[in-house]
Amino acid sequence: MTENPFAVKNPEDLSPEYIAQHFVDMFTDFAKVRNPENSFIHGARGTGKSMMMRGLETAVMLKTRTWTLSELPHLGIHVPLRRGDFSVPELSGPSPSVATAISEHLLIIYITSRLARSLKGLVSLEHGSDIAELTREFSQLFAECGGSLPERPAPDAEPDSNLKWIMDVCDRESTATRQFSRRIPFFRGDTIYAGALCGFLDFLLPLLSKLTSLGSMPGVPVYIMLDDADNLPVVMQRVLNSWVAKRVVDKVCLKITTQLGYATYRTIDGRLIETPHDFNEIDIASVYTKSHDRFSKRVREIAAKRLSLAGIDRTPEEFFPEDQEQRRKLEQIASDIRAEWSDRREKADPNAKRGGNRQTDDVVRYTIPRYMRLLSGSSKSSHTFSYAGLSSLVDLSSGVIRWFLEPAARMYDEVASRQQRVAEIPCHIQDAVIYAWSREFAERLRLSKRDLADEIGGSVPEADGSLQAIGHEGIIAARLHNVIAGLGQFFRMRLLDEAASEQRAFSIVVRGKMAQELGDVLDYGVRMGYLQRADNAAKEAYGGRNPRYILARRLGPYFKLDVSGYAAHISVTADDLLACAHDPSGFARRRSRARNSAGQLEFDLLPTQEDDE
Amino acid sequence: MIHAVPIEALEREYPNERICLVCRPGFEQRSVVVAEALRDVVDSSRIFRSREASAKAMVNVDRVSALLGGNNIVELDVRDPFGISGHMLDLAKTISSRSERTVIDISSFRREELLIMLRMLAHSSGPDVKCDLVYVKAEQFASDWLSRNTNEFRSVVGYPGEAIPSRRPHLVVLLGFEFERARDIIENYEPARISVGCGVRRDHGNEGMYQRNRRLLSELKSLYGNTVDEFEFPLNRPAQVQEVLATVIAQGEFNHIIAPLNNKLSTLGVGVFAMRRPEVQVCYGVVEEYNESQYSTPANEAIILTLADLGLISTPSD
Repeated sequence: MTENPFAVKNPEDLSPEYIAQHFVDMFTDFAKVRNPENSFIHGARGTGKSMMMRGLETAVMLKTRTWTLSELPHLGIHVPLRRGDFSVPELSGPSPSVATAISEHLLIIYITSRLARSLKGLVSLEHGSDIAELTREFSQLFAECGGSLPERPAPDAEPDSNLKWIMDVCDRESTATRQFSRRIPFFRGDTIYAGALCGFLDFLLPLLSKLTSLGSMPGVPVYIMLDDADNLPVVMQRVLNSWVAKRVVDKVCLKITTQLGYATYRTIDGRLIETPHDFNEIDIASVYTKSHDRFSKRVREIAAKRLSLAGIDRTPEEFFPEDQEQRRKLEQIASDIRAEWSDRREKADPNAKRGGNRQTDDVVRYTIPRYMRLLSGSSKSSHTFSYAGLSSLVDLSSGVIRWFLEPAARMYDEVASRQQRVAEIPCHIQDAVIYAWSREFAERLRLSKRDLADEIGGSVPEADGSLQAIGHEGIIAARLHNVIAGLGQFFRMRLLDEAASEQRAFSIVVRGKMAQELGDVLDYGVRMGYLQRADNAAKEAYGGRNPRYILARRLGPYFKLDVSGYAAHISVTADDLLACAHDPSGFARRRSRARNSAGQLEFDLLPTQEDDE
Repeated sequence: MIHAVPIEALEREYPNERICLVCRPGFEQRSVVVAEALRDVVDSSRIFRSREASAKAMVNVDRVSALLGGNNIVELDVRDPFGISGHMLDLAKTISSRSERTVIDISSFRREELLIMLRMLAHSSGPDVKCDLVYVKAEQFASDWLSRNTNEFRSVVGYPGEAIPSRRPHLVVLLGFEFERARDIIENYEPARISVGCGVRRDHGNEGMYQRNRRLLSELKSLYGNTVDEFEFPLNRPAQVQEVLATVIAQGEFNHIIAPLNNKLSTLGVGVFAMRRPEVQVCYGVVEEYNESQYSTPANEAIILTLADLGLISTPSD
């Protein structure tokens, strides 16, 4: 069986050649990332942060463009911050000052090891003296920081031998430092550390300055890409923030990615680093939420490239075809809606059903909801609605590249298990995978296994009796479960409400003062990927403009919602939403009863600044 | 020597002795079985409980406390692993200073707590220490879920591993019935290599439990495809667990991280192995919620072993 073209691989494990071959330029969407500034890049897992960081790596840049080493705009060192390496309680164990010093030292050793690794194979033999000089500088600085060193390679050693020596010293030093921290739990009093202590100003900065001053190197800033900084303990995050605060961006730019769980922006001496003064900040989901077209284009490019590299001569639209039978039915309904609109305009009937000012608005708003109502009617065939087709798959991925690739990979495996050559994914396979994938996501939050959309008025059961013991975060997860369930129910009810003028809703705007409890629940939902927060909600949740939260479209099939294109915002009060967090079905019932004298569901459609989400 | 006894015969293991009993009553029924069986030979006790114990757990805490006549109750805070290590170090030093026997009911300690305790016992115990570990087996576990919402991931205090910068992570999962926890650990540690183990057939309480273990392993493999190696490990013989682990981590240069997610006996095997191989890290995923109402039913059998059986007493301490 040929390799799955959509297989999701850990970016850290990919060779520079693979990255260069598969890389789709995301920098036009996030231009600030390439600027010689410190950056924080936030995005849930799967949004493409690590691939973007690998794209800035020296070895990858040399493969993607026809640059030589001396022509590069920056030198890039990718530093994955793995949970296994840093989520170690002992590192936070000693007194704060010891923990800070040890943490900084370990982080610098880690970065230096990655620096040496990143240069391996890049420097030719004719520039071997440059690496020898770098190695001498490393040795001198390390000794000045209290470290002891084994014998250096011979002066005429090959560059890679010198770089391997540096990596070996870093490995050894990391082990020795962790040996110290390993002993901490066994001693109640202060522990004495006698090893090396490398700092940003006395070790890393001079080492990197030496690097870029070498003849074979461009005299440009070094970009250190610290990937998944949420995995660092708080003490290390504060060390990192202290580096950001130094703003030595002419020499070193820190590109820090997070999965929205970064704990603090305080430095080790308690100051706050701020944007734009100390760093620029990018929220990947926010960019793609605001401009669906941009995201759609990226996904299409990624899919097209992967198909091409796999030798599959199909466009992404051909490879993921839409259900043509459903398309015909939708077109018929669209035609009916156009005729009704024209009829209404002709008759100018004030009692006629309210609609849009433009015919195309009515078609977009009502075609799929009407079809879904038909399916849910006497034939009870809601489950036959097809989400197949590239456009739908892009919509479902909710701005997260991995959420396109993962189901695509499963679809490919499913078809490949049945036939040798895969030229397209049949609609029924697409739908089977999509429904299962959506259910999987919903059930992680333990949404009821019942079909909530069909049980209007039913209540979602509380968890089995152990919420008392599980503390704050467990309760937040349970409340999020209720909010998602309530919103999903309500959006489905609205979709089936023929009387509603806006039937397709996928987001809420929260009015009024938000209690801390609700804020925590919504923040948790954003972090876990169940909700996306629009730009205008970023820091203004407790004042200023009203925040908007968008349900992840990945939940669309689970709740049987229309995930395509434009959707209305529904205005809810913070109190109402907090009530939903405790009683989701009550929320849905109340919203369904809130009709005005025209028998329409009341809602508050705030003016939107963009036509798509 | 490791041996199994019916619960009703537990007291007869300690004829003419007065023991100190260490236990951790909680929401599981089997957390009170040993205290009930040994109450007439208990001279003193140390009772551990969760700082935020549920109502159901407190019922058992009160019951055991009344049984043993003890008010030496120590709270363990899952959010404070260093605090836990301090309590366990105290316990270990107390045990090593006693001339009488200490019996530790390990059945319902969290795996992280058990591993930390083991580490401290290894650090503090001399050759003359008298300490038995007792484990009450489970007859059945809840059929759908045992725990959910893993919200924090960390190494266990005392088992940090070496985390060599130039090496990639290899995650070794000793799988039980907590599928979600295993999946969450894999997704958060993002290993370059994954090895998942299932308990050997003959060590499971019944064929149904074995098949369930195998099914969950298959589901995990289907999520991660060809990157997953498979192995089997014993559930009742900690020494043999170490032999299996030595083989699993033998190939390739990785930072090895072990996630023990099966029973306490295999967890002990992981702990001893990691103490002897300090480059190996043992990790733990903190869950928010346990299926308290249905978690397990106790079997009528307990396994008894000593620190000497684990080979700990002769281990040089730090």
